[in-house]
Amino acid sequence: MRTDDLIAVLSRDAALKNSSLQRPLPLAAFGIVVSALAFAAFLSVRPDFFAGPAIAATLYKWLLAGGLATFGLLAVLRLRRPEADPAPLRWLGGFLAVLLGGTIAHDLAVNGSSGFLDRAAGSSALACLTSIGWLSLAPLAAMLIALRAGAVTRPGSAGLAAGLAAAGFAACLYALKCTEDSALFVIAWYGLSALLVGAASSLAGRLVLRW
Amino acid sequence: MREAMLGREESYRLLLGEIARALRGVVRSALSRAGRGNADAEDVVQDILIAIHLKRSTWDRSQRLRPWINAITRHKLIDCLRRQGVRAETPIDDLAETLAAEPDDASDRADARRLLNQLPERDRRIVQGISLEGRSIGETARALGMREVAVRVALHRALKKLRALHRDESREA
Repeated sequence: MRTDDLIAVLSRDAALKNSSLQRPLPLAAFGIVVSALAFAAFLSVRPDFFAGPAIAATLYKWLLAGGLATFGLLAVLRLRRPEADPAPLRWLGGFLAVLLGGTIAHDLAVNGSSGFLDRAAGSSALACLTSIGWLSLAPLAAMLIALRAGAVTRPGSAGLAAGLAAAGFAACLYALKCTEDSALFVIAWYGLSALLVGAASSLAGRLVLRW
Repeated sequence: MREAMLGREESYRLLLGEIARALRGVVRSALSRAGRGNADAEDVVQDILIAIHLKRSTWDRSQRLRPWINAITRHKLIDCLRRQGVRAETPIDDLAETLAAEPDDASDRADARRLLNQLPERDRRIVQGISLEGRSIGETARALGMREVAVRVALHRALKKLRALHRDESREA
């Protein structure tokens, strides 16, 4: 086919219908709702949720996980376009790192270094990893679909961003159930879950975000 | 340029023509820097045009068009060169820096027509009717006894299929 013919064909297809099924935010919202339903079906809110210390701990988890989710979602929105400039994302990532470092320093200052590892290890690490992993599947799939509809030029980074966002959403849900209130546990195991989901998603991104 | 994206077929055609002319220069210089001839240049240009077409919803209308086109071009060029076993580490110039070039009929090879023949019968007739015979969507719809919307959808799908065929061929090459 000659290029002029191709252009003639393409121009007949000029009208662009916007499908909301491919927009990232509605898709992500849908994924989160699916995960919330899964949470309601298979897990339950911690019994002492309305007791004083539990609320503070949950709020802290939400701050971290919500920060991660926001960061990932912003990155997804940005990396969806081909000419994406990732520079502002580094600042956000740096902010998260400072938040984590500050928390560890605070814990050491308040509780001292003895028992550091015990506080980090907790007693429900495996449940935490698997729950966050499962809960992140629906939002992750939703965001990868949204990215596929976009034009991603950095598939690895975009996949990583989708994974971190999904793990952030999943962690927000799991925080409702999780009874481990040590900040160190949250950083170690929520963080590890997010890294695992992010790494898997980054690999997936390289495979499915080609065009 | 903006209105072209909103369904004005004529302005879209002019825009794509302009882009194609600019792309030819970029693609040829990228291929020659990678130590390859111009034989594939027109295929690569078409590949990029189709990508621009299929991904045009990702252009943010409040932004300038050129950086977006440059990003797509860079991505597709690297993709093409890599697929053909050349490491694409050469910097790729922006559209603005290269001269526009006219199509090179010698490189407009017959196997592109073979590509068209691999489409299912109905898709081929739609693409051919519109491109070679210059029919409108409406005329094609009447000729094939289809509704206009159905022709548009079929055309869109046919373009995606063409692209997939395109890709398979250059992968084998």
